[in-house]
Amino acid sequence: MKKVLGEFEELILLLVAVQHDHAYGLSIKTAIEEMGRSVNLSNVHTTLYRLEEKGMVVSSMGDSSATRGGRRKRHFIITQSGKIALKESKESRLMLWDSIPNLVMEGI
Amino acid sequence: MKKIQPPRLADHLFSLYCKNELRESILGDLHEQFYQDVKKKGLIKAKLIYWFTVLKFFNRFTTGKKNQSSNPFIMKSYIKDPFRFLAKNKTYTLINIAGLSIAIVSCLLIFYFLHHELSFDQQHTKNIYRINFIYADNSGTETKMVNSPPMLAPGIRGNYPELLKASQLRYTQRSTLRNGDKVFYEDYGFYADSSFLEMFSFPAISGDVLTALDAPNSLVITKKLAEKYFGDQDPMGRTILMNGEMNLEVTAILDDIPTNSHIRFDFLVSFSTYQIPSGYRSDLTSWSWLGFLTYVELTPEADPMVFQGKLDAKFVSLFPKWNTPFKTIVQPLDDIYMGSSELVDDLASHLRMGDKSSIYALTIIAVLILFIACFNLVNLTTAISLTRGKEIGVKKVLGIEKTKLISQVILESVFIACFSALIAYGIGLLLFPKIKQLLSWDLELDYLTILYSIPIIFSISIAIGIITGLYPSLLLSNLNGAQAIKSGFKSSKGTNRMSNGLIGLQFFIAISLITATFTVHNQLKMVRNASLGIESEQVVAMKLLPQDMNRYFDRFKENLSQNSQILNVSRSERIVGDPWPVNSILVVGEDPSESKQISGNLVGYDFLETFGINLTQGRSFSREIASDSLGAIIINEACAKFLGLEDPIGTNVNFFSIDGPRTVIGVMEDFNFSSLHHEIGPAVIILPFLDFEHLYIEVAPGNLLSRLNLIEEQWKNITNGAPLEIQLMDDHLNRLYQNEEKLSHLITGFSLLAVFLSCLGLYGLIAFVVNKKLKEIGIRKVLGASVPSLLMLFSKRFVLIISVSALLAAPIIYYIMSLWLDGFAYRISFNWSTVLLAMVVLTLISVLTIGHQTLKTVLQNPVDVLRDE
Repeated sequence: MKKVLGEFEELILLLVAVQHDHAYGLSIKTAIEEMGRSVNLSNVHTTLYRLEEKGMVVSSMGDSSATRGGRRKRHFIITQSGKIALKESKESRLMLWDSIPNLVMEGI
Repeated sequence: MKKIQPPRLADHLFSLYCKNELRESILGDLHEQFYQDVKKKGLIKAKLIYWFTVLKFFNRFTTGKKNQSSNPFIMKSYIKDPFRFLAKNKTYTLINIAGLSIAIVSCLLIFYFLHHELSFDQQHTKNIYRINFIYADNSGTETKMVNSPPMLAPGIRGNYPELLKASQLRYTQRSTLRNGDKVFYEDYGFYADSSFLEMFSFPAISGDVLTALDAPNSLVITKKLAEKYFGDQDPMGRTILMNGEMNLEVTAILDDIPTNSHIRFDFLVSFSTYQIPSGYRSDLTSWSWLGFLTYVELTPEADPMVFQGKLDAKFVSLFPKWNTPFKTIVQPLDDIYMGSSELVDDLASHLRMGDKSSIYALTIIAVLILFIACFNLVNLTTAISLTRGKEIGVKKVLGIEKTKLISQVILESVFIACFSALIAYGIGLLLFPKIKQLLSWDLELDYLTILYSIPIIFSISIAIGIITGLYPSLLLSNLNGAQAIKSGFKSSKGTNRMSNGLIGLQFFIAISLITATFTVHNQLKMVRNASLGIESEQVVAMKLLPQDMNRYFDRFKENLSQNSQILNVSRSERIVGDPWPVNSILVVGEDPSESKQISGNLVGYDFLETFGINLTQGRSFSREIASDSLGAIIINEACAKFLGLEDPIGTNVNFFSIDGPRTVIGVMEDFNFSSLHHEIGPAVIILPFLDFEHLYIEVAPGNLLSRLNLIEEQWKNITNGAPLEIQLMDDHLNRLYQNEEKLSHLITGFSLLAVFLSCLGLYGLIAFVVNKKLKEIGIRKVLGASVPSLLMLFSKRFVLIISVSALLAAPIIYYIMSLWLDGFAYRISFNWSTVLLAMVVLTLISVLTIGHQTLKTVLQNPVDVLRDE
């Protein structure tokens, strides 16, 4: 069965790819908020775990810092199937973009 | 300064549910976010966000629960197993269902009663109050009365900003109503004006209630009376003859007054029709004649206590010379039914008054009965667990989860409880009319009440199931699987102690109830047999309309007196046994502030003779002495003492309600003119000329029925068939103890139930114990144990438990019964032998129960039980 990405999942997956090697729960949450969208930390985490369940990201324990009380971060890295899913998603969007008649998008 | 850090509690909570792999990284993120938030949004907001996020994190990833793969095959067995188990153990199931359904029936019936008792006067507007009066005599003794003066309602109407409406009622004495040839006595009627129906919401079937009572000679009747007098015809506009002299026009018909209304009436006559009976000194402008009922409606924001203060001030200004002016109690409508036990009602029996103590007693009893049944369930479930070792063992070995095992056992008890509730509904609805009659409950069962009770009863049942199933289920689920299969489930010290304790509690309750039954019974017997100081066995009492009394008395008495079966005929205003009206008395020449309150009755000639009351001094009323009817008074010994009279004969006293001073002509022995709840008080009798309602006939000893027939015949001859209400004086006096009689029925019934339920549980328990010990009995028999010694073996434990519970119950029941007995002026002392008796009775019944079960086994040939090994 082909795994479908939800909108929020796609966003998170993109950010994991963007912050390659440095992505963890809070950093992604901060990135989303910088885009002007508010989100709860738990939603980000849950989505990350769901993506992990679907095999699109893998996680590993990383470094820690003082503000974390010495607790380590869980870093997420995008997998091959994650990359394929992103690419497919992008292509299907582009295909749709291409088929929009020119006059519809005129004047913006 | 306190260190800024994330809320600890939230951390703990999170660590509690989050699985280990994720905990560290998420907590790290949380903390990091927290310190960022503190900088950006402040400490409080950061903490809030922290909490919110911790709570939001609760999901399947963090808790680590996998999506449960529910095998439909196993699921089915979870549902099926409890049923299978219950079907297999029929005795167990039956005993439990029988016990629980009996207990739930009691609860159900008590629930209906309580629901009714607590639903009084709910349909009316809020902010209605009754104005009660307190008057104090010079000694400071206060009497609180529900009655108020006739001037109160008209006098305060419109004079206080918080007062919206004021309305007054005057009871109609027993009256006859007649439509054509239909004539009946009616006891429950009031004179009222339209403001009464404006204030109270009694729905009308036809007519306009707001104006129905405006015109004189208007009559408002209930549906019940409409059907009684007019059948299918429309009563509106028709006339009814009241007391044979007043034509009243029916102007409205009300729906029947619900039984949960403290004001009880079948008809209302317009207040403008009311005439003061001739001979009364007061009139409707009186501010001191406490013979009416006044209800007021205040504005929602008004404080009744403030209003009460204004009324009190008014009475101080009205009677500036009184040492102890009237005080008022402004009593809210929803308090009237339950909160009037201290108030005296001079309108005898028109108003319904609730009884708080019976409500408490019933609730306690219902809970006790329920406890007994629940203890049975726990005990039997624990006992039967002993036989389930193999089943549980196999399940455990096959890997059943602990929670599943617990829920299975609980499901069994829940099923038993719910099934019992179902049966209880059937029995309850079937029994309700009988119980209602037995306890003379004045209530109807409507479908809404039944509907109300369903969720309550079933949630109680489910709760019972869960609570009773909990202990045995924990017991079973903690078994070691392999061990359970090998050697079965052994009863431990803990389980034995538990079941001993529960049985003890059951017997404790049963002994208390049995002792209470004996005590109530003894007290009532004493009261019934106690001498009131009057001879009432041969006295017949008739209640007549005053005008019938005036019309027929002389001729009736003359005709009766010619017969040798009739010894004496007399009459009085108040019947002996009911409280007599209280009035002030003052020895002539003494200061008015010395006046005292005293009970008095208006009687006819031969009153003392009819009741066999002896005079210690002086003489009785005499027809030969004309002044007796105007100027004579007979006092009792208590009254002589009360007034401090050494030589009372010839003393002149002013008896408030009647004109002129009266001379004491005789002193009668003390007799109890009301019930034995009260001490004999000071009392007087005088001879007036009117206002008699009660006629007494003393008949010669012999066949009572023939004498009653004679009286009835004479009455019919004289009156051409006026209705006749006749009763034996003793019956009337017994009715004074109606409440106690009811209580006695109730406690007897419930203590029987308690004993029955306890023994039912015992029966079931013994069955299992004996079953477990079949081999032991066999071996003992082979070794030469006798049958009685084997019976002893099983009974010993229970006899011991009963004795201990009796010891514990005795002081508690002594205390409770002493409280109850204190309600009587004449009481038996608590008899300790009743506790002993209860114990013996209970022991006997239990030994019989045990004996029945064990004898069967004990008499078996030991070979039968031993040979399979």
